[in-house]
Amino acid sequence: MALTYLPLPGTPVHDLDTPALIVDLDIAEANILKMQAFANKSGVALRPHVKNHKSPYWARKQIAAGAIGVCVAKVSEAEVMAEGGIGDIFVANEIVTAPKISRLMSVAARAKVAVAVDTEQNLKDLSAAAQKHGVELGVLVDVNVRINRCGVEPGAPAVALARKASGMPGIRFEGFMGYEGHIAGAGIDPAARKETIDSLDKLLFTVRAAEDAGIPVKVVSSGGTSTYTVTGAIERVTEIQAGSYIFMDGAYLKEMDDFTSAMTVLGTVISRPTADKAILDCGLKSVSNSSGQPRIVGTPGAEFLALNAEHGHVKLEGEARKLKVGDKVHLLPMHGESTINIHNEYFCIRKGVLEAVIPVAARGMFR
Amino acid sequence: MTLEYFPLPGTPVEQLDTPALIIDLDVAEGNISKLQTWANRHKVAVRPHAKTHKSPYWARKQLAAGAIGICCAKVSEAEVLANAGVPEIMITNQIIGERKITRLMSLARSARMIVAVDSPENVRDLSEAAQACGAEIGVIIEVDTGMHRCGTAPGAPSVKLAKAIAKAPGLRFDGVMGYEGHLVANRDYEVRKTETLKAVEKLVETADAMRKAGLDVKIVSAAGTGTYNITGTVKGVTELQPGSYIFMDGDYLQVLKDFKPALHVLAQVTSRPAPDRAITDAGLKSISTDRGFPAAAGITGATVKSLSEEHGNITVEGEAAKLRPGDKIRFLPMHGDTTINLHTHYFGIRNGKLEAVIPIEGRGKIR
Ligand SMILES: Cc1ncc(COP(=O)(O)O)c(C=O)c1O
Ligand SMILES: Cc1ncc(COP(=O)(O)O)c(C=O)c1O
Repeated sequence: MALTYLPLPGTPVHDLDTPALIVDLDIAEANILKMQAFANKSGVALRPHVKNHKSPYWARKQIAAGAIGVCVAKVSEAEVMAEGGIGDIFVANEIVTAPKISRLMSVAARAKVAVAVDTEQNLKDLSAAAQKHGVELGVLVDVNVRINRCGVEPGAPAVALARKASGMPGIRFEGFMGYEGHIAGAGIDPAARKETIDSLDKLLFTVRAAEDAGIPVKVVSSGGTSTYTVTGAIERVTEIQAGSYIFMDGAYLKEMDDFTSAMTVLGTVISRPTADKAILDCGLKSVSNSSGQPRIVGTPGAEFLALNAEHGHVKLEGEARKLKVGDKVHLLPMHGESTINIHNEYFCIRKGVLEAVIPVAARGMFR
Repeated sequence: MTLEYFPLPGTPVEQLDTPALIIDLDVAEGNISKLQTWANRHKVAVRPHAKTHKSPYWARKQLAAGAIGICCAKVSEAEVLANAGVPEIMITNQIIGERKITRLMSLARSARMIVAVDSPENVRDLSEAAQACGAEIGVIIEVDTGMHRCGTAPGAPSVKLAKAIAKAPGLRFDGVMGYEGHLVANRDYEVRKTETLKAVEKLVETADAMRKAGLDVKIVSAAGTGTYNITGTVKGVTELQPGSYIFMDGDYLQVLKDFKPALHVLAQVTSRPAPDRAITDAGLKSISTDRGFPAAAGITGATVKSLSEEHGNITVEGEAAKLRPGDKIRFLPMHGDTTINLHTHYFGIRNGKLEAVIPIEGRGKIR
């Protein structure tokens, strides 16, 4: 591996070299506690999705606060979590190829593992592998609750798959999942609230149909940051899979203020070509623009214009024109998750000084 | 670090687990040699930009083909290249701040380093650091030839800065660079040519003005992939710094066809929830979308509808409607640089078989 000259704990945030992914620990920890408090009060379990933070460090904090386990999207993420000491992992996604299935079984030998399924063929492959490896694998049938991504159709098709799963050797049928990821802002927008309830109905009537058919359903897993208040209040939902609430990002902050922004990218002015323009050392390789341009926080009058691979173009007005080469600015990414995914480490700050540098251990773990 | 269950060399490409960044080695080597041959014929040197490939493996192939050195954008990229034995490295960017400058000086003891500047303050900081470390480093002036990113204005302001460099202890004034990044992707060849000639003329005139002022200007560097054969014909340009030509991408293929696409992301269908919809395992974490959605290659009737972090949502018709879970699809990314930055390894393919797994050591080297 290449060199990384990391600053020592105790370094003030403004002495950190840039670009750096900065997390305010007090804020992130408060977000973790707030979501857990909501879950406790609502009598629903919390199984946070770690696709957002990709790090056992944060997963351990979530579990210490009361989470029952974690969700991941990929087998390679599950490997990182298992190695980081996480004992209960749900792969909320379809795992369909022989190499990945073998790896999943290896994780299942070390941790309690469940996986989402939406075809009978996949179920058979998983069952055969579980027997071969001598492990037991939890299965949740993935129901399409109008997100139109993966998932079987609600009702009869989902129940048929659940029945198949119930009898299969090596497989422990646990219940159903249905992620309503197509919805934003259910906490404040009545239309979004209604869409959440309608979408969850698809899941709930599937659960009832399975139970009517004599199939015991233990787990009903659903909910994201945008919908947790609505989904988490539904009686039959047993666990919430929210992820982004931990740090929030510009896009989520537009729709809700339940949680506070904990993450920025720190950048440096490297050139001041004209009075109204500054060039930063942050480009597409340190802040993603998949949900829009980042926002500059704490420097009034500075506005993002464009990103190249390694440069950020910023327009300056008023106060901001005082920015000099070498000055630092904080950027709020619109999309936190795909920004975290391009960094190797978090610089964790408490009260303005570096407390710890934490690896983004599952960065690039997309297999 | 985490586990990597790599397939062995010799594995057929269809059997690679996905998502995987695959490179057709014959095509990439063909691109390297085509550019070098052109440059040799036109008596201009090549110093390819490593920001695209981020890997000493490819830098070594470029050097073996005849490149005189390698360009990069960041000190941390330069560390990766120097530690892999690249003898001369040009950072085409301003290096600001004590930490980075100290690292640069440390590198200057193991490789010949050249760095771009655009302000007298930076020249002063570099000179002080070079003296403190007992190092000598080469300095070129970045001239703004119309891109309006970093850079000094052509003519007198640049000449003034050059004089300051020539006098600064520890610094060796090497010349000028001017990347015409605002023109490299212009789709219209005639416009690209006319405008590039005008832009590069400013650089060459600035170099001449420096010579008239008694300065020795050895390096006059410019050009990206889209302008190599325009800039490379201008008398007075001593070297070219293109990067993307090595693999090309969907965006650049709309600019020129001199080089062939060598890079794809291999993905796999994970779910077929509806007759017209296929879901793949390649989302925003394995393919960048900052220049648009990737294109499915080698199959008709498959169009990317959207990408979420870990899923591709593909509309399928005709031939593509026959896709089943487990089937593989190759995607041509629109932006190679930011896609490569998401991956940890290249899977180098020759004649349909894996030849080597190549680490992307410069990935995430943003400081
Ligand atoms: C299946 C699944 N569950 C939960 C989440 C977490 O949602 P959020 O980040 O909105 O909290 C995601 C995010 O994409 C997801 O794909
Ligand atoms: C300064 C500089 N030189 C050269 C290049 C390489 O250009 P291309 O990728 O168009 O070949 C880039 C790319 O962004 C660049 O920023």
